[in-house]
Amino acid sequence: MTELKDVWYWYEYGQTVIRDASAAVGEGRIYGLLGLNGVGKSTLLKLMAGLLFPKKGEILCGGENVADRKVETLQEVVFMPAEFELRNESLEKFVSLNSVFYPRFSRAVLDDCLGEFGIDPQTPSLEQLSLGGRHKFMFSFLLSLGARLMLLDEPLNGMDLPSRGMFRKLLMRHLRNDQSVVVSTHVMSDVDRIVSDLMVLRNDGTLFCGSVDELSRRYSYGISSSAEDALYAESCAGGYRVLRRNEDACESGIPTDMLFNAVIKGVIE
Amino acid sequence: MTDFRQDKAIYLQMYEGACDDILSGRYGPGDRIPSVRELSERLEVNTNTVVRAYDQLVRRGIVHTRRGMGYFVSEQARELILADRRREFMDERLPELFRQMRLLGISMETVEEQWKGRSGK
Amino acid sequence: MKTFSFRRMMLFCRLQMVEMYGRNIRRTLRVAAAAVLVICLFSLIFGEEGESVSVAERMMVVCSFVASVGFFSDLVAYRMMVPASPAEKYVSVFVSSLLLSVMFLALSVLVGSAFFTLLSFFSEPSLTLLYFREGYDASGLVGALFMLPLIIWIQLYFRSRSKLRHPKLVFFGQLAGLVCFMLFPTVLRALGIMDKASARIATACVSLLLVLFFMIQSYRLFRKLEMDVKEND
Repeated sequence: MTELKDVWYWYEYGQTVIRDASAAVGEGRIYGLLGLNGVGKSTLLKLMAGLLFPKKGEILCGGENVADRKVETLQEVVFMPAEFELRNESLEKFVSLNSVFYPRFSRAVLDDCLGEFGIDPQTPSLEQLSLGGRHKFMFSFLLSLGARLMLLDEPLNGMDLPSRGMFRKLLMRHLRNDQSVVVSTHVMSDVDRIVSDLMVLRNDGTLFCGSVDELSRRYSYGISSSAEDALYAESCAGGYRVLRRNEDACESGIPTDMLFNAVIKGVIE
Repeated sequence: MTDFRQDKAIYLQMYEGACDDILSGRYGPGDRIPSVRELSERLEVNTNTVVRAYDQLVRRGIVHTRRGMGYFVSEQARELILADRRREFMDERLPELFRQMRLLGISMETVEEQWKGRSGK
Repeated sequence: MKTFSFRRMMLFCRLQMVEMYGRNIRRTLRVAAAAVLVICLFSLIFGEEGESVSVAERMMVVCSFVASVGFFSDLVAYRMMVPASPAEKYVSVFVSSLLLSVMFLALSVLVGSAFFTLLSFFSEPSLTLLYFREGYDASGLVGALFMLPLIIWIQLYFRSRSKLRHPKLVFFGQLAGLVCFMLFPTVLRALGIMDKASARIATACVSLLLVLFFMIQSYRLFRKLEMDVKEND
């Protein structure tokens, strides 16, 4: 269980990136972190990883402050940056050097993921993998470490469509009930149905966090010819895509992009 | 509210999908349906969505759990589903059909003719 | 330092050493041997008559330290998320540096000694062993020992400037105090209070104290170290 408590972060030149953010990342849940370009999603993930320190507030993982970088905490938090380098070494070597630090590393999970992604376990040089290949490898490796908190910054970059589906499948296949995942992405359809909660970082730095189920109960979505008494509406081929307060107990599926836009516009919470 | 086309929530779609499978005979009484994890992987959907769908199946009595073994189709599943769907047809589809008929000026006789004509096929 | 795992520290050491120098061992050895030869040549050209061997020895030591600085940069750039405590990582950098220096110096004994011995065949054939020869003053090595922690302390100061309260004052104040401390034995010797031998011992002691100081100070800075914020949103 990871908690953000009144977290503030700013750069030197007085630009607040994260403004009084509070949220709880529950076990067994998958969070989609959304936000416009440059708003600070990577910064938030780095704060949760303990790579950056909040200017105010604190972030706890399993009760421990991540900024302390204790061994027990580091064993339970893995972070995949949006951009990373892999050096000219064999896959085997990389795995044998790095996996020893994680008590829950599972060879079986790694082999399964590599197999499904079509990555040769005997790859002689990680450097030679394509962009998508590197992301696939790193995701497989991190998933096999069994850490309780997985922070993934645009993990699907460079992955072709079948691989994106495989990413979702492997996550569903191997994620344990005590693990949580925070995935940041621009492409909402990538995570539309696998996330249980949404986190939206608005331009002013405030953080919205809500469960998809809760939102589906509170709001309803449909296509209508008019945008009257809609909380939020967008034009579309059939008239308007409309978000309304849910009057009856009937739940509809709300597309993530509608929720996202409504949050950004300040309509929700 | 007729001018408000909604998609069903995903867990409801899954619920309906499971009912379809049972009606079509893909899963017979006593058969085991996929586990929560299997289905969430196959459909690339969060496990708690599958859990909601399965909870509803259990609540309706269409499916029951056996400790540690999974979810199994009940003996009366087929009847229950048919009863539910008939109710839905009578309470929702039929009124909607009648509304359309009135709007378009189609009489009951015209519909009966169609029914007789097409039943042969 | 509640629990310090020696095993984890050594695993981290192995991680860094293999990642930085162990990926292509043959190449690493070739480059190192070439460096030794280049240093020997330099010492011949720029060293005074008869002094070239000791010049070469000193340059080798400096070279081995320079190579070791890479471990710290690697730590900060790539290894912050590796599950080892800050103390384990920090100590590991020093252990790796020491191991690397020893290995490099061992290589230089082989290659450098061969070089100078072969060279001596042109005038007076004699066996020259780097570091193990007559008249070699090992206290010089000890005296230079504090350079590694010093370099790391300086790097950490620059990286964590934003987090300190009176950074410039504290840093330069400490530096000035340390320089005085370092020069103390030399001053005493110049004043005639100490003789050459004891001054040398004193310098060695001062050097060891400086090592301790730099290591403790830089560890405290290391705990406060943050990643650079890069714009990759």
